[in-house]
Amino acid sequence: MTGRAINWYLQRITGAALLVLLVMHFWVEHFSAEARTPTGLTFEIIQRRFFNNHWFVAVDLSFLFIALYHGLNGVRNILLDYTWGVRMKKPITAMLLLLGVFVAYWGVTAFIGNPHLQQISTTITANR
Amino acid sequence: MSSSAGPNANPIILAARKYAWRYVGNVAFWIQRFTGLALVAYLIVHVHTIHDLRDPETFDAALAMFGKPLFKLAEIGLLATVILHALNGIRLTMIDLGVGLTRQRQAFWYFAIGLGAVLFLAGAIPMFIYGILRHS
Repeated sequence: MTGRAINWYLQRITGAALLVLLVMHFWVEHFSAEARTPTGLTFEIIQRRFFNNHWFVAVDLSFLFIALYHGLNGVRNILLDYTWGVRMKKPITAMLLLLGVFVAYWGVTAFIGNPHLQQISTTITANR
Repeated sequence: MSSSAGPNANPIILAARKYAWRYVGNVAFWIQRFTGLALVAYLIVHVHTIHDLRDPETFDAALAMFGKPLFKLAEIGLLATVILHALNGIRLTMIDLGVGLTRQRQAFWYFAIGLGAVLFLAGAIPMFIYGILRHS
């Protein structure tokens, strides 16, 4: 299989994966009992949720990576439809890759190595 | 689609009919591009907000702002964008796999737009009632 064919398949496969992850994401953030409070979602709810169940971090981060790949690869596909885009293929790929790494870093560091979330996690463990 | 319109038919109606059926694939193509670009822009802004989890006060201030009716309205728009992109994406994948090739025009109207409208209303009505009408 050529690189382009893999790229084409991956856009479909990640799209299908996003469909499942998005439904989960909507459910957790908007319809679950803890999110349906008068104030809506707050830091405290997220804090409590994440540090009772690490699956939330795992699912949310996979969602982030897959969405970033699908989205930025989609932008790349659009740009490569133009002749100037094909001419600038390498810088376009490099810029989008850089943007992706940057946004992924934002997302990952929101949870991993976050001092506010860590504090609570150690208190919960200490109380057990 | 049968075109029973004579040569004196209204050109606007003729054009609308052409785009609704003969060129619907092109309409769907542009919808997929615009919704896709909008969703990438939203994703980046959204992750920026999530990054504020490192500063709980900023995060709660941001969430309080997003709870305001104007942002709830934008969120309803986001729902429409996501549904259109997702359902038309399913249609595209079906075309790629060779499923229902001869019915792709109907798939756009009945599946992406029709089913999409049902899903949209199912989400948008509660969002409108609880997020905007009963906003305190």
